Amino acid sequence: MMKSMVLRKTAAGYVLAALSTTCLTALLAPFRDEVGLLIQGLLFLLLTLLVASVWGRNAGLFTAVITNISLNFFFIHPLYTLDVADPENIAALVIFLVVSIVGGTLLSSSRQSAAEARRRQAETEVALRLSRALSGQTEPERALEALCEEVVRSFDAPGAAVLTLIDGAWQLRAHAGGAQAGRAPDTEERTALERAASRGSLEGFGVTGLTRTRRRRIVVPRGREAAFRLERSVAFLPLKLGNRVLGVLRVDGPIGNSPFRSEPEGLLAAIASEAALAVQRAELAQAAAHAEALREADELKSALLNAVSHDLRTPLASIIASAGSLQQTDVIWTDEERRVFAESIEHEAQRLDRLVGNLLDLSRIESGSLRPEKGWYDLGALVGEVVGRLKPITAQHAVTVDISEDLPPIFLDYIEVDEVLTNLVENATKYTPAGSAIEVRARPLEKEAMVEVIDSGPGIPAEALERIFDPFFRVKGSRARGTGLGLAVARGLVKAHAGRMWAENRPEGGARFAFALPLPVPQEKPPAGTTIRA
Amino acid sequence: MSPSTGPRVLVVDDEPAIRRAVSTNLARHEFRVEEAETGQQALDLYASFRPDVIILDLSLPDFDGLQVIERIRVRSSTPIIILSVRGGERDKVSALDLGADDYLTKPFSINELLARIRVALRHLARPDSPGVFRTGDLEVDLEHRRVRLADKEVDLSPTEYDLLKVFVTHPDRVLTHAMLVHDVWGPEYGTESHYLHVYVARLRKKLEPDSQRPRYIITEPGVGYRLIADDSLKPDTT
Repeated sequence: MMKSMVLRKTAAGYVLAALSTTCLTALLAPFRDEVGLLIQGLLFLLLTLLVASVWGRNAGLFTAVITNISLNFFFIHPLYTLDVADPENIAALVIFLVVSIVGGTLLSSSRQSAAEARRRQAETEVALRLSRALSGQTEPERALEALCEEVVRSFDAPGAAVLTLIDGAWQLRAHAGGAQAGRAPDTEERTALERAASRGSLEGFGVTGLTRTRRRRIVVPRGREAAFRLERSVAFLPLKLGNRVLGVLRVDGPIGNSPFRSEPEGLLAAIASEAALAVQRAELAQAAAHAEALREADELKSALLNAVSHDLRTPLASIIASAGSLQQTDVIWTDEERRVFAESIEHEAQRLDRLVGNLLDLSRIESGSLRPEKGWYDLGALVGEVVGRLKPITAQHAVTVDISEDLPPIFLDYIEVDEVLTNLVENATKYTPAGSAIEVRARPLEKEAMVEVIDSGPGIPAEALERIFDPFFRVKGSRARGTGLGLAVARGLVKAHAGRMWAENRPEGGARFAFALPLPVPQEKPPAGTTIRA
Repeated sequence: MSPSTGPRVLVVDDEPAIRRAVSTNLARHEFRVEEAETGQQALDLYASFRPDVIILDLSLPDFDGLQVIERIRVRSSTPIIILSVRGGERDKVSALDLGADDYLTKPFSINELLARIRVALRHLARPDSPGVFRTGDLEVDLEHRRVRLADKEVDLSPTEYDLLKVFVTHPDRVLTHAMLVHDVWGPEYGTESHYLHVYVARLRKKLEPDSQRPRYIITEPGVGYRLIADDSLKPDTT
């Protein structure tokens, strides 16, 4: 049933040979008496040789036989029988048959060896191009891509891809060709792919177009494709290094007009060994990158641990020393001394609490689990409140506040933005001399609302400007005590609000820290009736 | 409020809370106290205040505490007690090798700090001339090169005696491996501390009632050894 629907590809040669013989016969028959047997025979011989050179030896043999019969039947007396009256004609027919068989065979085999030679040459060229392309690639993933591109080019294939097994699943590492080349393997493909990997052999299948009667596609196992007209095919080539399968090369079909159309195995083997090496290089590079990443993470972790242990121990030391003092048995403290110790314990415990809070915020920011709880707020009022609340800390500085009248309400998480501004103001008081001026400003920009904290301290050393927002970074030689967390947390919180934060030195001296939060776009304005909280 | 007669202590720390706790306690224990926040202030006060003991933090805002030790050691042997949050072996060894006398890691106990200050002051008062050193049952006569334990003569090899002598002349002080090797075997031995461990083990065998739990020569892990003369410094035997 399948055969009735799908044309046999190999039959084409025979059918065409029979057709052309019929045509030639029909053409010559009317002139049978004017054209001599010699010419007729030579014309049929020519046809036979042509068929043999185009469709190969078997079609040639077939043509030799049918032209011989046609000659006998239509041109040699008695006509329309296979009998031959003249013994000379019998000899002529026999010689004609022998010449056409020998000629056809010779022609087809020379054609085959010429094709073979062409293919070998092309194979060499491809292998050369490939190794050149691969050796030029320093990036392993790029090398795999170059390999796929070369496969697509050499086979004139619709697509090619390299797949490797990562964490138990086949994953696409590189591909080239059309849009379909980057697809993930479907069930059918996965079966063939896994078979290729486990057996270490070339596996694949073809798929026919929709059948006319049943409107479905037929999957044709590899090796039997020749009998079907395929809409597409796919081949999986294991990439082996020794006995180890490093990956699989997928070559999509149908392959177009390429010298490897009939026997792709030779070139595939050459490609496979190059590809295996490329995959191995990629694996090694990946392992090296992984080790490097681990080392860096390890370094970061120990730097973090050092910083944290230092910053946690310092307030703890004050707390323990003060508490220990209060418990001294040989001393009777005055009320004032007692109060100072208790105050010290409270302050340092609060400092510890802020540090732990910052650390938690930082870890939430870095893990991306920060979820601002936003509402509509008056940013100006927030700034005023924070500055007011920080009065005890800023008592040593001359703080001025400048809030623009036309700040629209902004959608923000009050606690988080409060923390951002608190950190900036605290930072300014810590790193500038007592008595110097600090100005806090808030005003709208074109699409953002900007808050600035401007100090007139020593400014930020140029080399620290870039790193000042890094966690645990502290300006070298700075006299102030800090954990290097405040600015990192502030920037993280602003980013969680889709805003930006930056720092710069002012030309007139001092530093300027600013953050900007996006203004609501018109349709985002607070719905009517929403209460704007201050 | 500091009394005008007691010993002078300079407290160098960038943490106001620590400075306050330490100096309040010291003032109550009849010390005269000055505070310094930075290394420069410490050096200035060292010159003007002439402290008997210096309590020094290693992390200072302007320069490293180690540099403070170096600069003070150029001029004098005023006892320096390091009070730092850095508790690593390397930090301890480098501070002690540079000439610090003792090392206390933060967080610390006020009582222990007071005890260490007393020890430093006692050694200051003791003349350096050879005499007889006594602690517990141990008696070392430096003049006659005689060692007695519970009134019984102990026989020491010359190297064992030299090592014990270094300990006895620096009682209660942490002596780093490098210092001990240098003083007993000479500078050419560098950091080769293998012999040192062998000889400390021999000394303990001859002197300690229980060499597994020494009471005279105690180990400062990763740093060196200390000869205990002051009972308040004795390690917990629990």
